[in-house]
Amino acid sequence: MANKSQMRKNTLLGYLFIGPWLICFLAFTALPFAASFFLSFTEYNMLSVPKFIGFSNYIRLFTQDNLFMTSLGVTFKFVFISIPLRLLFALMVAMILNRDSKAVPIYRVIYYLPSILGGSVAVSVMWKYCFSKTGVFNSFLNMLGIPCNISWISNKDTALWSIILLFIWQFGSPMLIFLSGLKQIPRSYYEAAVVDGAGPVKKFFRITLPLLSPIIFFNLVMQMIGGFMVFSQAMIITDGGPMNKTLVYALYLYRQSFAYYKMGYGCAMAWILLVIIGFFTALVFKSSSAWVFYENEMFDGKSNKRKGRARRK
Amino acid sequence: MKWRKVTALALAAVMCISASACANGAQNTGNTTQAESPVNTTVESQTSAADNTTAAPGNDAGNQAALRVAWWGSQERHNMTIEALDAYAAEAGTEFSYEYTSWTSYFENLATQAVGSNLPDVIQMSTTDIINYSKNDQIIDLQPYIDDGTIDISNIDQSSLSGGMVDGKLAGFTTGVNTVNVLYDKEAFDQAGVTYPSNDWTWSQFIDTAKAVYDATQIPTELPFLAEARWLVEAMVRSYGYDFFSEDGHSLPWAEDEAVVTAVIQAVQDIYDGVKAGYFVDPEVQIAWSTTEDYFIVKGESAMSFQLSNYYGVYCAAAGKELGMVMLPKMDGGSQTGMYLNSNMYWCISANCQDPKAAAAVINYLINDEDACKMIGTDRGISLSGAVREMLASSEDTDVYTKNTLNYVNEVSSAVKSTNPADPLNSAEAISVLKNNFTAAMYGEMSAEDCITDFISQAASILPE
Repeated sequence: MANKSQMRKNTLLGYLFIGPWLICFLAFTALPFAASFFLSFTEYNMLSVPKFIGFSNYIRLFTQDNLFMTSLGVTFKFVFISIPLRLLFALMVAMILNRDSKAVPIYRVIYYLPSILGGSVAVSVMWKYCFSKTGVFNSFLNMLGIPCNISWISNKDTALWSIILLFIWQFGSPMLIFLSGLKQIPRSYYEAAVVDGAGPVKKFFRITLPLLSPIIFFNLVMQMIGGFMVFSQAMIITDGGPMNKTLVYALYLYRQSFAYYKMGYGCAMAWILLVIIGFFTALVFKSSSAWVFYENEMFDGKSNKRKGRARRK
Repeated sequence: MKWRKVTALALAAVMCISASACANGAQNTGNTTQAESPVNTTVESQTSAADNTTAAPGNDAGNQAALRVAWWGSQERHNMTIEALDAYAAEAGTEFSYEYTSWTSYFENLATQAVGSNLPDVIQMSTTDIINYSKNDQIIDLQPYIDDGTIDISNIDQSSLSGGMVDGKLAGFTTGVNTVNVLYDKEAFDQAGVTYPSNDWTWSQFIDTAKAVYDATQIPTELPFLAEARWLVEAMVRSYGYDFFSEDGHSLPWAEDEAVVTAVIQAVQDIYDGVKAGYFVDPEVQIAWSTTEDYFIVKGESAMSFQLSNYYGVYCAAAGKELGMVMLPKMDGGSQTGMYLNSNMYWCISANCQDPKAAAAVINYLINDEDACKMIGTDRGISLSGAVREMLASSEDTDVYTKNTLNYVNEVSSAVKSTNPADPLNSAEAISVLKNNFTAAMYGEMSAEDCITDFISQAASILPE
């Protein structure tokens, strides 16, 4: 009996511990989540009660709304360019920082700074001035003897690139994760490879990449999700312009919801975005068996072969 | 081993979905946390330090709750408004709680408050948004408070007051009227030897003037209303006697008249020709401007600039000299001036205000009280009250810029009969199409004809039937 009441007490205590999280999850994630699903089937302007209209929002999105397609296109372009580049950059810097030196912690802070600052309004505003016609970037080019007269943020071909660049610049958090991943790789592998006569390129492709692939996988998924929801940079630097060249999906969603009083429509857009993100995430997961390598699977037949090959060479 | 992978995968998937849903959900349901929105430069519920107000959002009916007043604006507006309201609080004993923010986040906050039936009592409202709040009964009809004398309209221009009418109700009390103007740099004109423009000039004279100044001095003219093309097109169609939106808000009345559409297209083409020839500012440069200091007219680098009249003082101050101010050119084939008066913004009372009479008294104070109007000046537009205008014009404290603005608006109001009504439903979305098309036309990405005809066809589907 005493045992039973003890157990109940423990259970209660357990719930008490996760309580704060649970309440926040229910109030700020689960509830809005369910509400937005319901609202996506309504006409809702926030100022009066929602009116149920079935699939009309979704139908309108796909049949009548040109900007929906435009914003999707912009977002895809943004994600597929900026995410690989951001990861590449993060990995590169992580490799450079992955060494024994007293200065490394300082470098780590310096390289992480843009990620802390990058989301802030101030940096977006700064970016705006850096890449304007008379901005720092053009002055810099001119100093190098490259005469440049483009207003990067308002030129129709470069506007999106200036935002992509800002996004890449904030490579700090994937970099930190890469760095900890690199530190996990046993040094003995590299030593063995050196003994076998492997050069730096071979070491990178045969040891670093395969052993880092779970980390790459994790970063890719997380960054992709973040990339699809890019908002603040586009809003502040270009406000979607010029000519909707930087109208990213989240910005258009925001406009529909808050500027045009079409919250129901905005919710429908959010659900489509969710499906899109889910689709690409699933795709990455599906493909992962082909390229992600877990060290603890080494004793499976498949992975053994791979390692064996590395050994032979 | 396999089940482990499957669970890991499933867990990760759940996590991803909830991670993305979290951000989406928060954004969509108008959650005030606004994790995604960085433009949260708001100063919420700032209670003034001068009086001991309690920010009581609940508005307890029993005790005398603080009246919540909300507005957006610049820091100067915040200071001026707080000063004026504090003076009222000291005199009338009303307690205030101020909720002021920047323009960017104002209406998000307001909508969120509306969802929670927690709107401030007195609300500063914009011409594009008032229709939504009025149609959904979030703000009340002010007519009863005029009838019972709480709001004194004996000095108020009746025609301008009608700018706050929505469906036969006085949804908002116009804070002041506003209009458009063309600023010109007298030095550039002198240098070029070109005569100053006059109020009765025409569109072709405007184009010729821009060209002449540029030919003589290499000083270009700013693109007319690149940031809000509606103000330009509105003046054009008004030249032909049309309103921009029909009275019922379902259509563009001028779009039916082929001659008008052709003339508007030609005017857009004229501007684009000027861009190519160099006598208008490069649109890529101009579109990046955001603050007053960015504008060429302030730096003496442009000859003319299209602006709203309530900013005249701001531009002159930034330029450090008195700029010329003239009406927008009339269309060559038009029958009248295209000028118009707008309600600059409104004061509204929310439907959940516990003491609307007290709120109406505050509006009356802000509209009619001479001291209050002295403090606020022409920041919210030119006062509707003839007495206040006279007081401002004759007062020694009034600077020359404000006096110029007062004169100018007087000239416009004698040329224009009525004030525009509030914008119809979905107008914000329609206007953004025009803005975008106009930009595309200036970039050379869209022909002048497509710019206008595409706007007309899109507006037809955006405006309610």
